[in-house]
Amino acid sequence: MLFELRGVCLHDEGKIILDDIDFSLESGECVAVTGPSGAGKTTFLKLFNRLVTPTKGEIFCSGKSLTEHDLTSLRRDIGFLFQEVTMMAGSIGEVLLLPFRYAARRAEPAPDAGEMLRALSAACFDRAVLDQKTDTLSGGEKQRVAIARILLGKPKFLLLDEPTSALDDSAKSRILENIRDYLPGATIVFVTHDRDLIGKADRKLHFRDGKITLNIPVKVTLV
Amino acid sequence: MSPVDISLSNLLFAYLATVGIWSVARAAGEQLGRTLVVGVLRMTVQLFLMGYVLIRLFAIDNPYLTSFAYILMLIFATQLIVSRCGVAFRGLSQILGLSLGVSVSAVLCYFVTFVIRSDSVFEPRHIIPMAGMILCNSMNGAALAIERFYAALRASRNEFETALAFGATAAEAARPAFSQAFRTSLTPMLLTMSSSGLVSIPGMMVGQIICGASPLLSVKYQIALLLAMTASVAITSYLSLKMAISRFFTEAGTFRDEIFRTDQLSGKPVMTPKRGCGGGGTGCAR
Repeated sequence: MLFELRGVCLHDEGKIILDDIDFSLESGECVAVTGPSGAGKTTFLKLFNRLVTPTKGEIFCSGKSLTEHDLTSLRRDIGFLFQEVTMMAGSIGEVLLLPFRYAARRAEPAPDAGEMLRALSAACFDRAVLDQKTDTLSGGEKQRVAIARILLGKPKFLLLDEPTSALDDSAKSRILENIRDYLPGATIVFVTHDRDLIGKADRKLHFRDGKITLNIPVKVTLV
Repeated sequence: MSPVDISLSNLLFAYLATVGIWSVARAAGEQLGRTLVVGVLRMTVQLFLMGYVLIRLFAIDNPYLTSFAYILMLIFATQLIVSRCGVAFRGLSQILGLSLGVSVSAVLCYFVTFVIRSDSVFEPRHIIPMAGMILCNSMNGAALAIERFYAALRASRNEFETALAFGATAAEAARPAFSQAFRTSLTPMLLTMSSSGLVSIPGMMVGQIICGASPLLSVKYQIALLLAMTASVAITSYLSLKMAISRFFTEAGTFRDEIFRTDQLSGKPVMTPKRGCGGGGTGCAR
C-alpha cells in the first residue's frame, strides 16, 4: 500500500475542514475526487505532500509515518498541480526549468529542449515554443505548461487539482492517457467535476462537508 | 558665524502652528484635539529632556556613559520595531535587537573611525547624534522589511506553495518575497539619496548651516551620514529577514499563521490567512 490515512481530521479556527478520513491508496491506482466546492477536496490532496498538517489522525506512506519521511524527497516524488496556475514571468523554457534550480533537484540533470517539448506535447501543448513568454499564454496554455513542468520531474505520484479546468475538449479527452503514457505506473489522484475524466479513473471518492461519503470503483468489468 | 538663539518667548510663536493644525484638521472633519496636545507635549518634554541629557553626556565625556546611552537607544529602538512590524513570535526582540546592534554599531564604528576620524569611537558629540539618526532609519527599515515580507508571502501564497510542492525549502520558496521586502525597506533611503539637494535640503544640513557651519562642510557630513544610514538600513533589513525567516514557517515549510498580528496602517487585526487548504471552499482563503 502506497498511502494510508487513518482517522485524519483537520480543524481550522473551529471549522471542520476534514472529518475522520480513512483512506488507502495502492501504487499505480488512479483515483478521481469529486464533491461540491468547499467539501475539502483540495485540502485532501495537500495532505499527501504535507502542505497541510492534520490536527488529528495519522498518514502513512509505504508503511512509515509521513512525518518520518524526508520532506524534500517526499515532495520531489510527488507532482502537484494547483487549481490556480501561477508562473513567473519569463519564457516557457525558464518556467519548465525552475524546479531544477532548487537545491533538492540541483543534482539531477536538467531536461534538454527535446525532453521539454515531449513533456509539453504530453500535456497537449503541441505547438509550444520554448522561447515564448508566459505572459502571452492563455489560461489553457498556462495549465498545459504547468502540467508539463510536473511531468519533467518524473514523479511517482501525481496530485492534480482540476487538471482540465482550462483545457479544450480535445485536450480534455487526451490528457489523462498522455500523462499515463509519459509516466507509466504512476499513481494519480485528481480532483475534477468532469464526468468523462471520472470515467477514466479506477476509483471515485466523493467528498461532502469534509467527509468521504462515497468510495467506489469506477471501471465496471463486463464478464 | 555663531548660531542665532531662539528665546523661549520666540519659541512660543512656533507653538501657534498647533492652532493652525487643529483648525485645518477640524475643517477636514477630524477631531485631533487630544491627540495633537499629547503629541506636542510629548515632543516638547522628550526633546528638552534629550537636550539636557546630551549637555551632561558631552560635558562628562565618559566612554562607559556614552556606551550606556547608546545601548539604551538600541533597546528603545528594538521595542519600537517589535511593536510595529506586525508579527509576533518567540525570539523576535532578540533577532531585531541583534540585527540593529550589529549593523548600527559596525556602521558607526566604520564612519567615526575612517570618515570623520574622531579621536575616539566613544566621542559622544559624534556617536550619539549619528547613532540616533542611523538607528531611526534602520529601525524603520527593519520594521518595513519584516512587515513587507509577510505581506508579500500572503499575497503570493500560491506561488510559495507551488515552489514547496516542487521540493523547494521554505527559504527557497520565500526568496521572491525576501527580495521584495529587502528592496522595499531600502527604497525610502534610495529615494532620499536621489532627491537630496534637488528636492530637499536634509535636516542635518539645515541644522549645521543655521548653526554657522560652511555649506560645503555640511554637504560632506550629509553625504557621509546618508551613506552610513543606507548601509545600516541594508544590513539591518538583511540580517532581520535572514534570522527571522525560519520563524515564519512550520517544520513542514508551511506558514505559521499564528505569528501574524495586526495591520500596521489601521492597527486593527487583519483576517488571519487560513491554512493553505481550500480550492474554492468557504472560509478557506488560498
